[in-house]
Order: sequence, then C-alpha cells, then structure tokens
Amino acid sequence: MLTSIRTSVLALVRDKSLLVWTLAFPLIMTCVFMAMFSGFDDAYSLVGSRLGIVRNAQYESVEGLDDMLASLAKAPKKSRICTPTYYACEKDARNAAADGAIDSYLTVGSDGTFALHVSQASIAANGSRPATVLSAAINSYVRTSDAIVSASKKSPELAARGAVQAAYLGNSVQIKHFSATKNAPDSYASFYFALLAMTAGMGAMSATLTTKNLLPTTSAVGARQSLSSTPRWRMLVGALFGAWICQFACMLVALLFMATVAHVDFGSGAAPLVLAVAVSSLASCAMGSLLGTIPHMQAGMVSGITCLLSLFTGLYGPSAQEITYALETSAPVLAHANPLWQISHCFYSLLYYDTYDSFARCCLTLLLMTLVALALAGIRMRKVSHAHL
Amino acid sequence: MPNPQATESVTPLSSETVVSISNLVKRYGEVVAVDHLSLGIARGEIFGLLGPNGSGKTTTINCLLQLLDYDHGQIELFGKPMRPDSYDIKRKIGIVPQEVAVFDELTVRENVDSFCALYVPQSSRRRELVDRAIEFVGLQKFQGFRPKKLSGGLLRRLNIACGIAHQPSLIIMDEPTVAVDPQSRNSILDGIGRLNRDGATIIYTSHYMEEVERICRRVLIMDHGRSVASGTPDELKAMIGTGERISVETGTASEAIIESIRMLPHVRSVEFSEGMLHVQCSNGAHNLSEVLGALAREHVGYGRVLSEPPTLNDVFLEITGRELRDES
Repeated sequence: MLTSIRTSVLALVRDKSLLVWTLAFPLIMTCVFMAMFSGFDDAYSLVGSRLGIVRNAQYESVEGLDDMLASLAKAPKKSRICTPTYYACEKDARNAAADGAIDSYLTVGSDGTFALHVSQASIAANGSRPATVLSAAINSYVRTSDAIVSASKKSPELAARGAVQAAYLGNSVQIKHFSATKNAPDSYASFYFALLAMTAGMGAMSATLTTKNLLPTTSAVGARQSLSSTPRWRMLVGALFGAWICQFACMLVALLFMATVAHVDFGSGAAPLVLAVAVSSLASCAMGSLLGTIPHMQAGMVSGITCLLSLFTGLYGPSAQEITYALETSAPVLAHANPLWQISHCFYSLLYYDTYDSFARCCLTLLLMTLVALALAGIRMRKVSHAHL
Repeated sequence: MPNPQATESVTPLSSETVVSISNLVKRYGEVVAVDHLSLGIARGEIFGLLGPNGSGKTTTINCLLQLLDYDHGQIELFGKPMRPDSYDIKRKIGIVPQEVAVFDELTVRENVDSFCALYVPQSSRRRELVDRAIEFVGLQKFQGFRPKKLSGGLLRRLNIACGIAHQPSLIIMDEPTVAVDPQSRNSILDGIGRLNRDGATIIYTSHYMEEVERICRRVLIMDHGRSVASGTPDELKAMIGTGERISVETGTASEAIIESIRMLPHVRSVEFSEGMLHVQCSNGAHNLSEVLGALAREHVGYGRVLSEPPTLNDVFLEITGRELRDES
C-alpha cells in the first residue's frame, strides 16, 4: 500500500495542471482578496491631516483651542485626527500648503472666527474626509466653548467655581469595547474560510483522478491495475491516502499563507486548525473518490461542482452571503448537507465560538460524509470493475 | 454431457494445462460476443489468438481475467477456477495491453516499480525484479525519463516491462507491437521468445500474421465469437485450399497465355497486373516449373520469378473472408 500511496503522491505532485487548482489557485485568490479588502480598508480608515496653525495673537486669545488641538495630536497614530505644525503668519502657512508640507491650515480672524484652509492637492490625494473630520472636531470645540461662555454669563458664581466647565466637559460619551464572540469579528474572515472550503473542493480533483486511474473502464492504467493481485479496496485506500496527503499539504500551505501574509485571524491554536484541515481535506478526497467512480466525470466537472457549492458558502460576496444565510435559516438541512459549508463553518467555529462543540459537530459531520462517500465509492468501483466494462 | 453447440476445442500439447476455457458464452443483449468457446493452453506455449476486429478475442481475454461477467462456461487457470478475487492466480499473470498503460507523471523506473509493487510488496525483492525487467527490455539508459520523452518503440518496451516485471507464469500480450518500427518489433519479438524460454506461457494476439507465424506454437482463429480454426501454423496452412503463390515479371501477357496457365493442373487462379503475372496454386502442389514451361512454350520472356508458400495471412483471409469487418 505504501507504494500505491507513493505512486499517487508522485503522480499528483507532478501534474502541473492539478497543482494550479489545488495550490496556486488559493494563493492567487488570497492575494486578490487582500487587494480587494485593502481597498475597502483604505476607504473606511481615518487619514490624519497635517494641520498648519497660524499662531498669531488672535489664535492665542482663544482659550483652550491650543490645548484641544494638542490633545488631538497626542492620540494614537491610528486614530490621530491631525498632526499640527505652527506658523507665525498666514503667508508662511499658505506657502507650506502650496509646497505640500501640510494639508490644511487653521486661522483665527480678528473677529474670532475660525477658518480651515484646505489645499486642493490634499483633497485630490486624500479626499475631503480628513478636513471634514477635523472641521467637525473644531466645530464641536467652538460650540462647546460658546455654550460654556453663555452659561458662565448666566451663572457667574457657578462659573467661578468651575462647575459650568465641569458640567459641559465631563458629560461626554465614553466608548467601551466588548465582544459577544471569542475573538473580535473580522468582516473578511468568512471570505477566507469560504476560500479554504473552495480549496478543499478543488482538491477533490486529485482523488477523482487517482480513483479514475483504478477503474478498468476509464483508462488503460486502470485496466492494468485492476488486473493485479492487489485487492481493489487496498488500491483505493492507497490512492485516497496519497490524494489526501497532497490535499492536506496544499490546504495547510493556503492556510499558512492566509495567516502570515494576509493576516487572517484563525483564532484558535495550531492543533485544532491542523485537525480542521485534516478532516476537511479527507472529506474532499472521499467526495472526489466518489465522483471518480462516475463514468465520464472529468476534472472540469469537479471544479464546476465546487464553484456551485461555493456559492452557498458566501464566497462570492455579500449577495452570496445573503443567499447562504437565507438557506441556513429556511432549509438548514440543505445548507448543512453542503460539505463546503461544513468546511467553512469548521474554521468559523474555531474563530468565534467559546467552546469546541460547533467545531466538533462540523468535524463529525464531515467524517460521516467521508464514510458515506467512501462506502458508495467502494460499491461503485466493484460494480464498474466486474460488470460495466 | 457435451454441449452440441460447442465449437471446436483446442487441446493443449503438454499435459500441464495453464489455461482451460470450456463452453464460454458471453452475450451483450442479443449479440453473442463469445459463442461456446473452448480452448486449452499448456505450460510453456506461445499461443496465438487471432481474429478480425469484433471477433471476440478481447471479450474472451476479459472474461478470462474476470474483468467481465459471462453467461455460461468454466474458466480455470493453473488448474483452479478463476474468480474476480482469485488473487493467488492473478499474481501469476502479467498483462501487456494494446494501449500503452503507464503513468505519464512517473519515470520509467518508477512506472515499472509501481506496477511491480501491485504483485511484489517486498521492496528489496522488487528492486531486483525492476532492474531485471528494465534490462530485459533494454531501457537502462532511460530509467529517469518520463513516458512523454520516449519514442513509440521505447514506450512499447516500457509497456512490456510493466507487465512482466513480477515474473508472471502466464503473460497475455494484446497486440504489443502496434505502431512500432521494424527494429523495435524485432526486439520485442526476440524478447517474447526469451520470456518463453524462461518458462512463461504466453497468449499473443496480433493482426500481424507474420509475427504470429514466427513466434506462436499454436494458433486459434476466432470469428463471430467462435473458434473457426486451430492448430499449429503448419496445420492451419494445410487446412486451406490455397497453396503456393507464383509471381512472374513478364511485362505483357495475352489472354491466351493466361488461359493456358489457368488450364494447368492445381492452378486456382491467374491474374496479370502491372507487369506481373500472379498464379495462385492449390495446396500441396508445386507448379513453378509448369508455369515457366507454359511461358516458354508461348515464347514469353520473363524477369524476376517469385514462389511463396502460403502464409498465415492467407489462412486468415481464407477462413475469415476478405470483406471489411469494421464497416459491416
């Protein structure tokens, strides 16, 4: 059997077209996803503005403004709204903006009005969002400041004790983070899990091809092997094991690539992840073996089936995810019967669930599917070899 | 009780029968692919199984190897009934299929090793057998090559090596020399002879009659699923009416000359085409001097003269007919 396994592994590893689908395809798709999702990230991320401040007498006269801007500059880099640079006069600030050293600059007029001057170059480079965010922060300061001044005039005694300021400034919303899941939700992780499921599906081609090589009706090699003194079940197990080794390796490489290059969070430790990959690849190989016993089944048809089943894992975008969700809620048995959904959910369970219950359920379902597929493949192989030549 | 429909059976020459088929019947719906076929092959024979396309040769071999269920009959190999799970019998059988059956992704050596491993699990023993098989077919220089890099002749030799590496006692060769050049064919036929001398019993199917005539000790001709003739090549030649074929280069031949030759005793037919006079004689007769004498009497000069005894090809065509089978 060891030689059967070795033969199967060598044949699969040297089949370049197969390697494209089982190894190169998930890596390429991961890069595509990275490029797509990084675009979304950029679109929603905060871009800090390089703010010039004209530090003249009018500016100095506005109480608390400088402190407010300084506090914005002290925020962590990811949430920093602006990085201030001070200029003695507006002319210097305008020149700096023209040279591209700053994106915008703030002036305080003689009548106490604020003006945020934004360079066209900055808008072209970063859009209007940074300036909008900055102006919102300054507006908030101005309104709060006006309200404090107004209230202080009405109640000078309270103002003298600092109670007015405390009332306005202390009454702000605090953001506290919490999570309902074991790990923080990652809106893109499910796409990568679906991609791993699709990788497993594509890997079924390996088992399909090795199984076809055992059938006397599909190839001369199959006829020659089926006439040997090695029982058919041993050859099937050997071929399946060889295909599984290849598929396991390909999926593991894809997972490592996603984790290290695309920084996909898989949540759990290495052992459950390796187990998930092992079970997933075994199930896909068993399905591939079953497909291999069907007459006229080609590798292209296996990839077609995989693409169809991937639709119900949400791989193809929000619309596909809505279809998947609709199927899960309206016909859960149908959704769960999809091995690619089980594989995708296997990784999903590891990331989001506190316990391993859901993960274990997925693994057991996949193992059950494996047994059923292998039993059917065995029956079909026996039929094909003895009656359908 | 013998089946009245049973066709002529072939009894082995040796007492030790390796293959025994009796009253084999295989039907595909209404079509009878093998019709009460019986044959026996003795140890050490090279047995030729001949027949036109669709005559039932491959079906018979598939039934023999239990690749096909059959409707009636008994098949015994090495004195034991052959069943799909007769792995002890299968271990003694080697197959060289007509189509080259190797893994494209494996090298020559890996291919031979891979197929040998289906019969011989011990790697040390296998290494020795693989070396021997590769040496036998002369592929030592090509051990690291993949099949796509090999010529047609080398591929055929690899195909043979994969079938014989485990040193089977019974080798079934299905047209092993199709589409190979004369040098490779000669090498393959020599190899088959050596395998036979080493003790292997060989069942050989081919459409090249001169090959069969050269290597087979006994021949069975099948047609329409039945055995229509069997025996040694000489016995088969003796069975038919066709004898010596005389060809004379005359340049020209009048109707009178052709008629005078046709009137000679033992002459079956006379044809003149492209400057050659072809005279087909009856079996067992030698008419060369009479034909040349007739030409001399008519003062007809002649150049090259060829006299060929009947070949297995003549036997085959006379027994199975000349109409095209694939079109019928």
